[in-house]
Amino acid sequence: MNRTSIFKCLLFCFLSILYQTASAQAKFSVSGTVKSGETGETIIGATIKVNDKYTSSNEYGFYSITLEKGDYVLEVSYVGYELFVKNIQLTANLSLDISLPKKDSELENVVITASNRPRNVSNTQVGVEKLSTSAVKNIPVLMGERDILKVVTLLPGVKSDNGTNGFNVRGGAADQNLILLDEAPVYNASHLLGFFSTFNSDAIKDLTLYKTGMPAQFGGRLSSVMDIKMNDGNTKDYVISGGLGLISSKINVEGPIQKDESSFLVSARRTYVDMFLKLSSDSAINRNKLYFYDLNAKMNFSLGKKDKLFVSGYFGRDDLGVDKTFGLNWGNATATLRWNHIYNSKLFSNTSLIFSNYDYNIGITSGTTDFDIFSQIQDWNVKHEMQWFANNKNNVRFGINAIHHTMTPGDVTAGESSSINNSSLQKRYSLENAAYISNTWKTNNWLNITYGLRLSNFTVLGGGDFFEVDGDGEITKTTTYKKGEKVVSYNNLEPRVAASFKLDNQTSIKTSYVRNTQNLHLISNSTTGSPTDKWVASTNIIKPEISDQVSIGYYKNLFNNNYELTVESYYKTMQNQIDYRDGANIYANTNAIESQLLYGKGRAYGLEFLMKKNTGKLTGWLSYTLSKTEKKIDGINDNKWYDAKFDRTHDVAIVAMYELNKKWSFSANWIYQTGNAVTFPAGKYQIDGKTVYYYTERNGYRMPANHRLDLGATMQLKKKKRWESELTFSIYNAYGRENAYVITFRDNKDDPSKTEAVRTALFKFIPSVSYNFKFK
Amino acid sequence: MALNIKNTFLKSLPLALLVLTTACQKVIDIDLKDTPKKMVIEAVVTDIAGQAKVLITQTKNYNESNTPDYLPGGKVSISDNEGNTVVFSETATGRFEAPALVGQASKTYTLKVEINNQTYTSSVKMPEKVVLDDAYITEEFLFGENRKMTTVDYQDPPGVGNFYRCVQFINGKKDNTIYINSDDYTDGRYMKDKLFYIADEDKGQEVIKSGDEIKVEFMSLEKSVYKYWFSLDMGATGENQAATPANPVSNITNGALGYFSVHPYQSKTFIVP
Repeated sequence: MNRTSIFKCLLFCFLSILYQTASAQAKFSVSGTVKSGETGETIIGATIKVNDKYTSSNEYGFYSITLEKGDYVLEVSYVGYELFVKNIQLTANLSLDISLPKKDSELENVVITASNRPRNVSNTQVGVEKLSTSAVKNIPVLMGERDILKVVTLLPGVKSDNGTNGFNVRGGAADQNLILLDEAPVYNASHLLGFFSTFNSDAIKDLTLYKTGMPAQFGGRLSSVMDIKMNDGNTKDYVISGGLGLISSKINVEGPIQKDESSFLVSARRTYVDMFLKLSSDSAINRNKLYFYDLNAKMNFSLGKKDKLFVSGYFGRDDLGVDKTFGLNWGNATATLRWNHIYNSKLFSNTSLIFSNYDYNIGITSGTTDFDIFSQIQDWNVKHEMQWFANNKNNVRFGINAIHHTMTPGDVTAGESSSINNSSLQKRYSLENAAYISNTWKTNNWLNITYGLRLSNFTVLGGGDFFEVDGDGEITKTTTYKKGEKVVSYNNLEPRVAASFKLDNQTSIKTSYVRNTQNLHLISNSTTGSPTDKWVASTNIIKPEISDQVSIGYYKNLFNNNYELTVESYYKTMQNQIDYRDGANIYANTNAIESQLLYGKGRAYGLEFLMKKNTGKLTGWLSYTLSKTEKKIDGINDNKWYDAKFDRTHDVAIVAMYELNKKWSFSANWIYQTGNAVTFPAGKYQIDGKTVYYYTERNGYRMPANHRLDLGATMQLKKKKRWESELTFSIYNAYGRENAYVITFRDNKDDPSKTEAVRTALFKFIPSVSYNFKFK
Repeated sequence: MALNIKNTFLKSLPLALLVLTTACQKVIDIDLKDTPKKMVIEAVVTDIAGQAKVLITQTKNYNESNTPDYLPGGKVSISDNEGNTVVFSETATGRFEAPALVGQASKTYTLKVEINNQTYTSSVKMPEKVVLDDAYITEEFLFGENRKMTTVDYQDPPGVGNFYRCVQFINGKKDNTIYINSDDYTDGRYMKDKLFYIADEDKGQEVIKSGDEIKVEFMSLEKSVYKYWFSLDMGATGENQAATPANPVSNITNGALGYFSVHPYQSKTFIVP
């Protein structure tokens, strides 16, 4: 389809919705907000059902359902809550806020995702994973740090390695994930080089990961959208909760500003790995610095019945230092101001103003080598979106978005006695705009379709020098642009289509096609990824990355809806992929980063199985992924296809949680993963008396397979009226498997004529204990 | 070696974590495929008579010994841009010398190697000499110890595009660390460059102590030669995690591994106080 025909097709669809709406006979809607009866938190994704019609609450808890005049029974349900049933008499538009009672909490603590209702197999969403913090709180983790992002990596199609930054979704690179915290992009979601995520679980409400079929309101990254919502804060009671762990402590305070109307939440976490270092008698360790902290805060206000204002923010930082010589710190800061407005029972709008910042600073002090390097990416972002609950069959969403990016690639500031010159690389400016529209169309009982279109525009702005380079990366032409002058502009149309075919009440087949584009690229040269990897925007030479993905899935609820089976398959192509040239100097003092880059394409395909059990004493899931990810870059591997570093043939995860009694619950997870694709030497030779390795194929070898068992146990301590507490125990890598982190090569110390391979393994058998409390 | 310090640091970032966790290292057996041999040429001319040499070897398989596999029968010559050609003589298998050849600053030298019906060439302009003013020991507190490290002093000339390499010998034993520097961030400054030497026992390296004899060689490199050493250090030492492993970027044509360098040479020897 060309662009015009896509437009025509869409226009027709939307006109027909207007027609349907206009011609509808006496119909009324019931609308409102779904909230938790216990805390007053809004509930995202609650199911609202009237007869055979259903809808779900949006990301702000708002719902709207349109019916003909009459008497109905309205049912509202959500995981972990009692079913809410109400008789309604519809003679006019009805506003109905719903407060869902929490299930008996004694039981609920352990029966994690107990739902009265089976999974709805008829929505159109393919490749989506939803997790709430409470649902995963018992899964064992490294050093007792609960981490929702780490749990995501136990799901099919998602991959991460400890000790590397980021995660990979369906063969996408780590920078191809759009990570949103209350709508604000988070550029580096890792603490301590990827061992922990920046998301303090105490402050997080839930997480939705779109592996494909991302709705049209999301864009800007090729592979996935991870949409994370912070808690709003309890509107009923003041609650102080917290925890003391092996490596961190945290505290969370929330409560009403005005009862049932407005609330606040402040959550803080500080790790103290370095305090343990200080205990070490080894002076090689005890003078080092290694910690991170996070601060989350949120407030929300009701401005009358129709308006709501949210202010939320995140600030987190890592600080790492080796003696007084080296220092590296990095972190994200985000702030979001949102305004919800309900025009009427069918029209809901949200306007957001968002700020995002990521920066790092490297400091080195050694004699006359005394300097700091500062690098930053900063965004101002405006969004306006309308949701139109047109009628029972159509739910339309449309909006616009504009982001202004400022990138500071590297400012060098030298100390007084330093022999380093002060220098600054050119700042880069760009505008990322988008307009989108999508509709979810319930055509009939068995066919639902979501279709939409996103128009994205990326405009590179001056001032500064822009370049042309030849095949060897040498600059052939330099053009200087004035500040604010347009350098180049890229427009892309991104169609998004998904459909579900319901076979019976327990079974459906879904399919989707999605195109995504990406104009911010993280260029990483290292094998492990580093917080200092470079973000660059598209330029006249660096073209927008484009991905096209088709998916098909089979969904079935089994054994009285106690089990959910999901089988999905995907094929994805990626254009304009970027890699460094061999021997690139990533810290060169040049504005022409393009002189160091090569371009090519990628492809990924796979099959994912997930069997989940959500009810009973034993819950958990079994996930298996079979996949392939390849790249073909001009100038690498003789221009032939090669396995991407993170290509992973087999990936198995088993997660089990068992509630023994009210006091004790246990959990375990086991993973097995094919090793990363790596480049090992094809031979060796001597240069100036030093052994140098000869390489032929890129990523032609495999690291040994990883496998690991983690165990956890939670003990509820005696409950008092206003006081609850628990102890959690965990063992990471319980059978002490030495999973290879890196394999390096060196001359044998005793016989330098021999070469030896050295495997480095991390984290063998790490036990931990933490204490959590809650005070009302 | 400002940027090298940075690279060293960033390379060691994950390693810093290893130190702090329960990381463990183990020598393992690994099965690597044999591959066809590849030509390796190492050619050096300096401003000192007797130092011009060319080595022709080929790659070996991973499980073979590290001793160089010299190739006989090569023909080696170097000519300058004034039309003078010096033919090298093979003093031992694969080892060529031209004792009278002395490189002169600003002249361009072209290497020509003929072997097995293949011709390999490379051209390098010899950089101007930058005077090594001094070399001495300073101490750096790092990883819990005061470590003795060699510092070299020199005045970087104005204008970006000066490149340096140092080689250190401790009690006559060559330290295999690659010490290179560019004036990318330090153009025109008086340099006190520290050779960041962190002795690794597992590699048989020893710390520098009082009474040790240190010899430092100091060379000014042409850009393509610097790039060779830089890319070797980043991607071909078998150890560095900072870049995906790859062959160094050679300045010799026809796909040969190795490099051709013409550089001014200075050295200084001293006893550690």
